[in-house]
Amino acid sequence: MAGAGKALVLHVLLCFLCRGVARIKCLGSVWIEPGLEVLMGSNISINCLSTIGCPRANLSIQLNSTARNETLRPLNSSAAQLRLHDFRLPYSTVLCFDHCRSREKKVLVCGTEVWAGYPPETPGNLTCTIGEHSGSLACTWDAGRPTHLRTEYRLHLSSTQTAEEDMFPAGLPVPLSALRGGSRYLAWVQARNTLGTARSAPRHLDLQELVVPALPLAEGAETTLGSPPITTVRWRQQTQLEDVHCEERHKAEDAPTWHVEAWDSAARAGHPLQSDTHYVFQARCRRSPPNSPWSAWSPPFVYTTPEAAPAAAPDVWRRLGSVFPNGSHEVTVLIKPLPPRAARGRILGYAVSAGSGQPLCNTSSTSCSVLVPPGVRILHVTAHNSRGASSPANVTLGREARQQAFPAPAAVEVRRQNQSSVSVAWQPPSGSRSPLLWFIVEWVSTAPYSKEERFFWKKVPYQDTLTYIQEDTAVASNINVSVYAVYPDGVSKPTSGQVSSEDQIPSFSYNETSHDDDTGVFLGMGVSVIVSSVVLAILMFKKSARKRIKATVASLLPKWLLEDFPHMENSNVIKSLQEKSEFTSNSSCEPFLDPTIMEVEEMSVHEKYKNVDIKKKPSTAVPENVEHPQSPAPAVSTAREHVSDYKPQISDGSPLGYVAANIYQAQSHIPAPEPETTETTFFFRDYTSPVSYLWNAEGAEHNVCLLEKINLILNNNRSGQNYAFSSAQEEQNTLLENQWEKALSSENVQEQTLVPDELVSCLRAMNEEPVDIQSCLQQRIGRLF
Amino acid sequence: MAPLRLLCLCLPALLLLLPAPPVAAAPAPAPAPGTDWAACKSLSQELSRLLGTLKEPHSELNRVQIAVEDPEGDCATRIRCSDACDPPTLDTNNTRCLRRILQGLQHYRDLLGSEIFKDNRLPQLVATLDRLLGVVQQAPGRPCQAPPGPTTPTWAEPLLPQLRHQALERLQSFTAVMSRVFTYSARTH
Repeated sequence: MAGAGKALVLHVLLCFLCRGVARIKCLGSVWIEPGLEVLMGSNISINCLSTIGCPRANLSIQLNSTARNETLRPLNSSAAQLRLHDFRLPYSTVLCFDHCRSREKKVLVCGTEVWAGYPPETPGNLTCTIGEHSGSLACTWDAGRPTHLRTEYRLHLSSTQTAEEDMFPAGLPVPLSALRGGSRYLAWVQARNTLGTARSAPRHLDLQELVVPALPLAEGAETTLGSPPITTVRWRQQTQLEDVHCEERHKAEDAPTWHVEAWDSAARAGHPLQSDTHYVFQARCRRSPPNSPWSAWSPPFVYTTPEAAPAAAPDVWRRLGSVFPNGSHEVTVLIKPLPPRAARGRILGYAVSAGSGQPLCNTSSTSCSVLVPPGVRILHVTAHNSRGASSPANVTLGREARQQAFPAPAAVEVRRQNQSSVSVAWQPPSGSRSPLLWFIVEWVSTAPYSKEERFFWKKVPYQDTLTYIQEDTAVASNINVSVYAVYPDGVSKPTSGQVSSEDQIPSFSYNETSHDDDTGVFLGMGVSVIVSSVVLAILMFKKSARKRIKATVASLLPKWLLEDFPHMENSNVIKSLQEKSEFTSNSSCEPFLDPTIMEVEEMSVHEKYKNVDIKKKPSTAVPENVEHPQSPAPAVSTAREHVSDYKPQISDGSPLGYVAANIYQAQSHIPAPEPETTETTFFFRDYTSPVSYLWNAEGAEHNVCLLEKINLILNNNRSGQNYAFSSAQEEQNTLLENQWEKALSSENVQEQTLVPDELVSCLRAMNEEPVDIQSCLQQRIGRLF
Repeated sequence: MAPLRLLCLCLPALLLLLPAPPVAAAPAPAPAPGTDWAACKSLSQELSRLLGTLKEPHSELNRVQIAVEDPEGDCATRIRCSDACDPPTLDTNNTRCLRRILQGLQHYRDLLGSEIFKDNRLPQLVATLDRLLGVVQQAPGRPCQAPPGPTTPTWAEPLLPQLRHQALERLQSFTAVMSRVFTYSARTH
C-alpha cells in the first residue's frame, strides 16, 4: 500500500502522455511494485485498489488484455494483488476491473503500464567527427544490448586545457561555438535509466583531427556496350580540403555484400556489372592522416544497368511426334526460361531453326511444335531480348539408326522419398566414343483418379547420376521416368523406370486406390448388408425359427447360465430385515409410519361433488364462502353439473399462476372482473409451482404445507402444464390482462372447481400479505446520461 | 440522491413525451431567427437512423463499464433539466436549449474525430453531425469552449472498442432527446 501514493503521482505524470478527448475516470488506483520499470526476469506485484464502494470488491486484473487471476489474492475488502514471477514482457498494459455489482458486467477501476528491461551496458566505440561545412561536433557510439527502457545518453566533454566539463544530450550535434575549452578534450558517454548507470571509457579528442571532408555527390553513371559492359559512376567532389582519401562501394540491390574500392588520384576504374540489374553506389572520404575519421557513407545512388544480349543458350529438349510418309516429322521443342543473370534483360521470344534458313518457329512461349523436314537431325534454339540473341542451343532429334553409337544410361531406379519427392538414380553409360554432355530426365505423371498425363523434364549435369523430382507431380499415382544421355552429335535411347501407387513409402499415409477397387468394395458391402437384413427379418418374424434357435441354444449352454439370479431366498438382507422387524415392531420410535387405515365409504357421484359448483358456461360458478378481494360479491350460480370427461387444459399463458390468490401487487391494477367471473375459477385453472416458490421466498412458511396440499389436489385434476415464469413485469401485466380476457371469453376452458373450504380460507389469509414486486422498468436514458 | 438525479436527467425527455399543449394556448414563442427547424428535425432523425444501423458486438462491449469524465457546468455535453428543453420553455425561449444542443453536438463531433475512433472512422455519422452543426450554429449564442483535454492514456488502448461503444451509446441518447426538441419546434414554428 505504501506505493499507492507514488503510483498516483506517476499516474498523474503519465497523463501528460495521454491523448484523445475521452477522459477516463479512474475509480481507484493500480500500481506496480517495485516500480513501473522493472528488471527483466524479476518478480513483480500488480496492486489494485477499488474505490467503487462495493461491500466486497471482486477484482480482476488483465495483463495485455489477458485475464491473469490465477495468483490474484485479496489484500482487503477493496484491494487485491497479483504476483508475477520471472516477468519478461518488455511492455505491458495493466487493467483492473471490479465485478462487485454483477458477474456479467465489470467496471474499470484503473490501469497502468509496466516495462521490463535491463540497465544500460557500457557504451563503446565512441567516434566523433566534425563535418567540413557543419560547424558542429557529432559523436556516435555503440549502446550495446537494447535496454527496452527509457534510457538517457549524455555526451561529456572535458577540456584538457581548462578542465572545464560540459554535458550534451545524445543524438544532437554539439555546436563548436559551445566548446570554449580549446581544441583538446576528454570525451565519454554516460547512459542512465531507472535500473542503472554506465559510462564509456574516456577518449581524447583533437578537434583539428576530427574534420571530415564534405561528401562527394553522385551525378550519374554510364555503361559501355563492350563485352563485358563496364559501368562507371560520375562523382562530383564537394570538399575544399587537400589530401582527401575516398572510397566507393557498390552492390546489387538484393545482394548481401558490398564491393569496396579505393579511389586513387587517377581516373576512376569502371565496374563489370551484370546487365539489367539495380545497383547501389555510395562513397565516403577522410583526410589523409591515418587517424582521421571517415565520413559517413553518402546517400545511396541507385543505378540500373542496361540490358545486354542473353549470355547463355537456353536449356532445350524435344518430344518426338508422328513421322509422315515423305520423311518429315513432328517435333515439340521444349525450352527452359533463362535465369535473370543469363537472360540479361527481358526475353522477348525464342527462335527454332533447322539451319541457317528461315526459323521453323518464333514463339514467346517455352514450347513450340514444328514440322521438321526430312534429313534434319539437329534443331537450333536461340533466345532474344532487346539487345540481341543468345548463342544457339542444339537439340538432337535422335531418330536415325546411328543411335546405337550413343550408349544409354543403365539401371534406372525410381523411388518415392516422401510425399513430394521422388528420387531417380542411374548408372552412367559406358563404351561411348563421344564425350557425354549431360543427361535429360523426363517423366510423365498420371494424377490420382485421372487418366490425364503431364509431361516434365530437366537437364542434369553429366557428372551426376541421381536427381530428385521435387514438384507436386511427385504425389501423382504413377510416374514413368526416362533418362537420356546427350552427346555432341546425338542422343541415346531412353532407359526407363517407374514408380506406381503400390510403391509407397511406409509413412506415406495417402492411400491410393483406383475407382475399380472402390466399386468392388462398395458392391461387397451392399451385398453383405442385404443378406444380413434378410436373415434378421426371418429371425424376427418367424416364430418357429426363434423357438428352434432358443431350444438349440438352451440345450447347448450349461445350466448355470440359464439360472435366475439373484436367489432372493438366499438374500442376507432379507434375512436380517426379517430379524429386525421383530425389534422394530416393539419400538416406540417409528421412523416410517404406515397411513392410518380408515374406513372406505362409497359415495354416489352426486354426493362426491356436493361441494362443487359447476356451470355450463365457463367462469360462472363461484365456490361458496369465497369473496373477491376487490370486486363486489359476484353473482353466484348454483347450477350444478357433473364434470364432464377429461379435456386437455387450455393454457392462458399466465406467468403468475395462482392468480386467484391475489398475491401480487401488480394484480391490484387489473380491472375488476365481470360479476359472473370468479377468481376462484381462475385459481383452479392456473396454479403453477413458481408461485409456491415465491411464497416460500417471502417467508410464508405457515402456508407452505397447505399450498402443497393444494398443489397435490390440483395437479391431480389438471393437465400438469407449467408455464415459464417471466421476469419482465411489463409482460406480466400484459399477460395478466390477456389472461383476464381469456378467462372471460373462453368457451372451451376446462373447468375445475374442486375447492375445499379450508383451502379457500387459506387463500383469503394470504391475500392480506401480498408479495411486493419491484418494478424493473429499464431507465435507459437515465443511465446513458 | 440517485433517483433524484435520474428524475432530473429524464425530466426533459419525459416532458417531451407528454402531449404538447395546444399551440394557440401557449405564450407567443420567441423563435430563434435563422434556425431551420425542419432541417434540424430531418438531420437529427437521420443521425438517429445512422446510429441505429451501426453494427457492433454489443453483447461483449456491454460487459465493460468505463467511467468517463464529462464536462460539467456551462460546458456540459448532455441535456439537463436546467437547459429549458421542455415544451413550455421552448415555446417562450429556446436559446438555452439550442446552446446546450450545440454544445453536445460539438462535443460528439470532436469525439468522433478523436483518436479513439482512429481505427474506426464513421464518415457518414461525421458528415451528418457536421451538417447539423452547420444548421444549429445559426442559432444565437456561443457554445462554451471546453478546455482541450488530452486524456486517453496509453494503457487504455485495449479499451478503445468499449470507449467507442460508450461514446456512440451516449450520442444515441443525446440524439433521442435532441430529435424530440427539433420535432416539437418544427411543429410549432
